[in-house]
Amino acid sequence: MAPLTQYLLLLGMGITTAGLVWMLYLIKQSLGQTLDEPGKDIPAESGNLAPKPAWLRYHVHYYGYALLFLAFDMEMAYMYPWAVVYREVGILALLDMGVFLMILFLGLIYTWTQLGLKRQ
Amino acid sequence: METTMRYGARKGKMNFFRRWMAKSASRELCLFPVPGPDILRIYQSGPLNGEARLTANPREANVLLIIGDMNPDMAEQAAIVYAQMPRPRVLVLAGPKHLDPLPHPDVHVALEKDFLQTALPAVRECLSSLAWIDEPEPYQPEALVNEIEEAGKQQGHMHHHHHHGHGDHGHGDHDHSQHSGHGHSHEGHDHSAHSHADHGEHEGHDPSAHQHGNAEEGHNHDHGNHDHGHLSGHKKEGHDHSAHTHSAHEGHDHSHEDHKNHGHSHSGEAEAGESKGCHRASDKPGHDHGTHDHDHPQHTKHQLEGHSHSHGQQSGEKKDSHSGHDHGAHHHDHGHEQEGHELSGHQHGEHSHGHEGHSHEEHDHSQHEEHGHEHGGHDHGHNHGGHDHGHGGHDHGSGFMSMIAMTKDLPRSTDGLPMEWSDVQFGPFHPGMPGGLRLSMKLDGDTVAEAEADQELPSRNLLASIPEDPAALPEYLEAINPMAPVTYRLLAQKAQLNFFDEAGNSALTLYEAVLLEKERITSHLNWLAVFATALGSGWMRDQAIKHYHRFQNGIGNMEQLSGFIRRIKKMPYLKLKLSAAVHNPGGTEKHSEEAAGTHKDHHHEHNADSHSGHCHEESGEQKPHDHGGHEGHEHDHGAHGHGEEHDHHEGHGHSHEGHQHGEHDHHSHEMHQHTGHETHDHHEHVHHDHASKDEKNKVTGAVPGQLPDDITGPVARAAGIEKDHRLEEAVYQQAGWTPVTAAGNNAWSRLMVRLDEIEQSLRFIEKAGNDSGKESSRKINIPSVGMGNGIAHIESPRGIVTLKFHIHEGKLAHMHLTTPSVALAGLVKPVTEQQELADALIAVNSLDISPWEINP
Repeated sequence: MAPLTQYLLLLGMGITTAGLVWMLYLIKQSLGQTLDEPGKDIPAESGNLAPKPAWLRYHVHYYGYALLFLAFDMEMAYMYPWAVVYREVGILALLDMGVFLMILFLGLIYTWTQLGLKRQ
Repeated sequence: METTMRYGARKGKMNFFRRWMAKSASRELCLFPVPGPDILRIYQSGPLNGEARLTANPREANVLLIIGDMNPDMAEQAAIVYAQMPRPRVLVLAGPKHLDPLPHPDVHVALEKDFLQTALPAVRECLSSLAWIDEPEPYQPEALVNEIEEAGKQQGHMHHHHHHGHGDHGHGDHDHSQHSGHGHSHEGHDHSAHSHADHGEHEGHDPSAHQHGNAEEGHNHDHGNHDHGHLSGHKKEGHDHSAHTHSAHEGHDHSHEDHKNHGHSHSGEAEAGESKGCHRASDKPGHDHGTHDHDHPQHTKHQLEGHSHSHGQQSGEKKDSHSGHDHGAHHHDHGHEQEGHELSGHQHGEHSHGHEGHSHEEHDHSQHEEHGHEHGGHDHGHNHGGHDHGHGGHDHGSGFMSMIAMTKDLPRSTDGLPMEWSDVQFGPFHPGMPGGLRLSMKLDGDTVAEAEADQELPSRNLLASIPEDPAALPEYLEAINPMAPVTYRLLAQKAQLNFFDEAGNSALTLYEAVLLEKERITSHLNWLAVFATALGSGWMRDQAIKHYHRFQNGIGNMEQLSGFIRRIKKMPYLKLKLSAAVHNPGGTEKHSEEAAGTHKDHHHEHNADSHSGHCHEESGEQKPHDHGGHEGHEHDHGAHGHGEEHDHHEGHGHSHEGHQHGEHDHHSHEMHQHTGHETHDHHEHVHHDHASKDEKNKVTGAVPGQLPDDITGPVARAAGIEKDHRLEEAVYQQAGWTPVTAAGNNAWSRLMVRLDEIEQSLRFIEKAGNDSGKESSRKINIPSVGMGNGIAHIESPRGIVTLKFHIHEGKLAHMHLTTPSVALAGLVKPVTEQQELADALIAVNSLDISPWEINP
């Protein structure tokens, strides 16, 4: 694809996005003025006022989940470039990724054996 | 009627686009039923089929449906829901003409069967024509605005709302447990009731709250949150640990054999210096342990092994307890007589530890100057991080982002970790709860720390206005409880019979029994729909609703219902979820491992940091301090950020003058008469209340211990108690009826009992068949004068209901209704404690509490 075409596509996407935003704004405008009501600023809690921000520290025991998440999030990050070259490299890529996934999977199994996936 | 949508419309003129929007909105009706979908079902003869849908959240709804009259409190909650709905919104009142503080209704219908049939077209009309008006008014009733303002203020103070002195939880940061430098393994020391000078923030310093040990470990001295504020003004009584009679420990068998590198070097060599960076050296060789004559006869390698008994790294192995460290007859008399001490607070001078020959008397504490209590030496484990020591200029770790400072006032979880607890309310209008029931919970993470059913938010509040005419009683009681109107009506009739009928024959007729059983079926099915909602099973909910409506309309199919019940019983994982372990034993093990692990780490830090006098050389291995499974004596170092604290300690001569370790008068040390190893085990049980609770509570919805006597109905029968008033009714006796029981006492067994009761009732009705005939033609002649009492019991779907009334001169003078839900509401706390939130909600649901039976 010629660079010019690519830029044109980019421009088109930009215009579409801007148009969408503008449409949303128009719809909002056409729905009329909003009224200030105190109740609307309070989160719904089945009929109770819940003004406290739900901003609580998490239990330190959740660190296990955080670590697991990181591990598998990283895995995904590696898999994107791998997916791009997968067709070119072929079965070798599959094996390589298999080893990588296996190592990660061992971590998962270890966590499991340590009851890390259990609710604390 | 006049419909203006003054509080429900959007502001603006109608135009083409808006008309189109309004029309679409009127076709997509989202109802938010108040008090709940279970109440709505009672007035529906079939499920909502596309004409509208129910939502769980008022933010999605455009119709607020108020079903029936309600008391002012509940009306206020309904007003909150209304205020939270987006415009355009329609308010429908079914029954009452007006409910303060809700605005005038846009649509009003009578509360009757299928009232939605008349209400929905009116709602559509409202929405399509009045969605935009010129002069809408903001809905801001005074009560609501005030409440919001108050709540806003609370938010400002929310950090002061932390709960001090929470029963089972240790008190935060002040950890007396690390007496490792001292080796006094203060087992069972209850450091409670320290009369600290600077207890500024200690509201509710509850001596009982000292957590002697966590779930798995033994004596966890988890003296959290003590802001000891070691100010110079402390008195000097010192530790009165006197009552520690660890009597029957055979000998002081420290068995330090393994401790190869137990480099205590308790000598004066630990020369002071600046004590920067390492607590090995103290300012003054405070505890001159060089002169300690511990005289542990069996200890060849350890001269001063008494010091730094870091107990219990092996929390897991309970059986091994005391294999190493036998505090035989330690009389830990931390008298702190303070002789010769000018200012040094922590006078261990007179520690008559009762170790045979292990006399600390020669501790030369006298040289403690102002910095006397160099926490290297006698590190009594004061977790100094974040404590306001009152050292001018020394900011001990209460600095920015210090976890200790941030968490010091927080309540403790059962594992000893401080956490912010959140107050959450489920209900009165929660889709997964019976409509009108409000649960107030304190959540510790996703664990329920405390929950209770609100008793202040009762039913339609009609009990306040008892009718004078006794003849009106059946109608009156019928209206009180929409969930079981037939039962309540029958109850009133029985009580009337009991009073008026000359024969006093108030037994149920077969016809009445059939009516009762029919209501039991529908009631259980309606409950099942709510239960399935809480469970998250859409299939079960829809099926339950379908069968509910069929049986309500008298076209129930027994075979289909039996098939449905069979499928529920076979649902994969359901039994496990409702009855199997939530915290299984494996989980607890893990817990202890973890605790031990942390302990270890911290322990190491002690070695490095905290023994200035004793100066434990960092030995490559940790063995030296392993005195072998003293789980009984475990000081729960786990939860205390020692590492951090000690960092703050560096170089600060904590002028712990007058360490008020004294006045431990109330130390319940007396209680800890360790008369043997077995006693230790026992001890654990005593002090590990919540540990054992955990064990008991690991089943969803299980009630720990015995059920209270006043629990009746399916909940009692699910616990194997054959409590059923039908056993006393002749009609049932003749039919050879026996109550369904189960032995689980958990959510699963309650589900099973109800499902089996549905089938049993079906069989009973079938058997009664044509014999039941028509309604008995017994006419109750109510005399216009008379005096006396009437009483009746009936087995309602939830348990035994009792009605007592007193009639004076033909008028109802007094009435008392005993309902099963009041007792069931009392079970909310025990069945939810330490459960995961989802399990707790299911557990509460399994009780089938009817808010309509709770009256303040």
